Amino acid sequence: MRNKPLFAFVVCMALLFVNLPLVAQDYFRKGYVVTLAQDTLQGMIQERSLEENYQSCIFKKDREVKTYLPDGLLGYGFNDGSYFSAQMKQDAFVEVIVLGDISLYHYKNTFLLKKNEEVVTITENPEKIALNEEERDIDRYEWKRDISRLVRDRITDYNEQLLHLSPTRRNLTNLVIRYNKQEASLYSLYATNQPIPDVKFGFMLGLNRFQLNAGGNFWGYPYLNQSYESYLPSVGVMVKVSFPRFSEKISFQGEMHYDREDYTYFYQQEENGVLNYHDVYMHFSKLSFPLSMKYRIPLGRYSLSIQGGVNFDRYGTVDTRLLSESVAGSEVTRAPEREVLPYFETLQTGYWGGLEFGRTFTKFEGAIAVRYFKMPRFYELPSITISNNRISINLILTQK
Amino acid sequence: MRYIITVFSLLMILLSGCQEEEELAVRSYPRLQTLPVSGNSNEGATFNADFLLRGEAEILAYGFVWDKKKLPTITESDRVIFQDQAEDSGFSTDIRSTLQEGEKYTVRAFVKTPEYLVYGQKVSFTSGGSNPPVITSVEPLVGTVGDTLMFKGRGFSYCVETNGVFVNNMLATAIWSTDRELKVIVPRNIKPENIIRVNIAGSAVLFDKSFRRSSPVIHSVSSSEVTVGDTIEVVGEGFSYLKNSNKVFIGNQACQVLDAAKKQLSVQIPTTLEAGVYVLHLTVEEEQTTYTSITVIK
Repeated sequence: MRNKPLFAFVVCMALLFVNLPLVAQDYFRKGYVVTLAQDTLQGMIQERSLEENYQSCIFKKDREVKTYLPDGLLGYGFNDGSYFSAQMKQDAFVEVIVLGDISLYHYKNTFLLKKNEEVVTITENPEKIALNEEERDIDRYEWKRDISRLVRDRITDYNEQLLHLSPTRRNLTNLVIRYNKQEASLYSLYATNQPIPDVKFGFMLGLNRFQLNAGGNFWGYPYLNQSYESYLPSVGVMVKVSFPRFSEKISFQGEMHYDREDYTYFYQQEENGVLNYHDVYMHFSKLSFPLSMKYRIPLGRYSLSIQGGVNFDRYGTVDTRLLSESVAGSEVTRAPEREVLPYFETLQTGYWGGLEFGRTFTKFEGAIAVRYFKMPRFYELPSITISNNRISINLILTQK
Repeated sequence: MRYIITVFSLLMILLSGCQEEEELAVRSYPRLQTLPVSGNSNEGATFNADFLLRGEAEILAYGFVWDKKKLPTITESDRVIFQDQAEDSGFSTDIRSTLQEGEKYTVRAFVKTPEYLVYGQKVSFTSGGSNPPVITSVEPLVGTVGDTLMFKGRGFSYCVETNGVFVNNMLATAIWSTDRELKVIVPRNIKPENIIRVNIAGSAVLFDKSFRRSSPVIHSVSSSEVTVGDTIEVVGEGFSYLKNSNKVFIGNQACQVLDAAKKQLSVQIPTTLEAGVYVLHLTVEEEQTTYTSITVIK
């Protein structure tokens, strides 16, 4: 069956999507809630996206599931470290990073620094600042002056460092911890269970359009076409490495894909009364190793990522054959079979980029990715260069 | 997660196991490929071929052609031809003669259809040798120089010059051959009893019967009274087709043989002959006969 790989791909994708609701059922982790009466109730908390964690808490104890809004709790937390407080905003939980003489919180794309009753809100855009929840436009260094004012009673040499400070989670966490340590005051650091680095594994299914493009002078190579196409699926595994304590948006990804490429091209040419037929058959199988850096833009439960990097292809099967026949009158003569690409390099290097649209499920993260690979030196003849361009659509499932 | 792993494994197995069938272009003739030679030994070799696409065309004949000097063709090279129904997958055959040890040969499969003669690609090999041909009969076994001998058997070469036939160790000229039949001309300088030997591609075989030289007999002449310069017809048996091999003398004067056949010679009376009664002598390959008498008048 000619389209057997494609058929297999479609069947497996269908099976996967039909059963996604089963796989994506709710998932609870051990945690606790702090009631308005300051009682701590141990139980299980549904793991959801960060955006949902800001809005509510779904708590399960003794098979009873209850949803808490910010006005019904002082806060809630997971036993592995992270804690969300309802005391900083009226209608939202905020993530607690450090509690101390200066406390640090994170909410959506803002950091909140609280000292006594003063709250400085820093957006991840450094040109905005709010003082006591009153936001106004200021110059790009004004937020640094406010931070400097908050910490200068204990940290006097900070101005120079502050010049180069950017409002990242790591920088602000280090600053607040340093401030609290200066007077040996007690402080609590939350969310420390986030690993350094955070390694996640996943697998991917892809549907690929491979295209060989040949450019140059074709004299002497009448059997070569300017373009060949092949549509075949691929499977792969991946490992994603991120450093969430420093940045939750940037990660590094290594992948390994197995795929095949099949090309066929028939060409006929009449010359001096002789009809020449050329049949080109090319079959490849290979392992691809894309390495990339990914920048993730969170969109609530969803995310959009851009990704780019280098790609290494290690070819296993390389079968390129040219079958030529000439018909002179009633006599057909077949020429000896020969290789189309006799000096093929089995290790190739190229580059790639792509867009990925993801969604967080309870147990895993799923994404659909569109990618473009270019292997600029697929094959080189004295007068012709063949490149291999690939567009792939991938379903990616990563452990959460 | 177990479900995902199951689906993933299933896809891996399907994808790695899938070998897409090659889609060959259909032509109006069978697409044929010569396969490598197998069973190459000192007793011959096996030629192989298969159809890339058998097609719908009727196959009239199929087989192999081989040669050691040029691209083999069905008209000029050694060949084996079958005319039964070829199998759809392909065909092969054992070649047991005409292959000389150490020589490099090129072989091609072929198929003949009503419209096309299709050759597979050439395949080269160095022969390990082959058996000699088999001679089952030679006719006639009695004759003289210039006669044509018909050999029957198998393993002869279609290439006439490849068949080395010797009569009394004298090379006989082969004039026509197939792999089962061979025609040669009896050479000069044969003896009354002559061993027949055939040597093809370095392998020789002796025929178990010898070739016996025949003696000429003259039954009559067209005219017993002649004048000088006349042409007479000599009728008899055991003459040679080769004019020069029939030595005719009247008296001690040699006559010119104008035409020669197996049973008749055209002979010109020498102009230098004096009037008189003479005896006519005929010698064919040392075998002599006479005829009396010829009267020459002026």
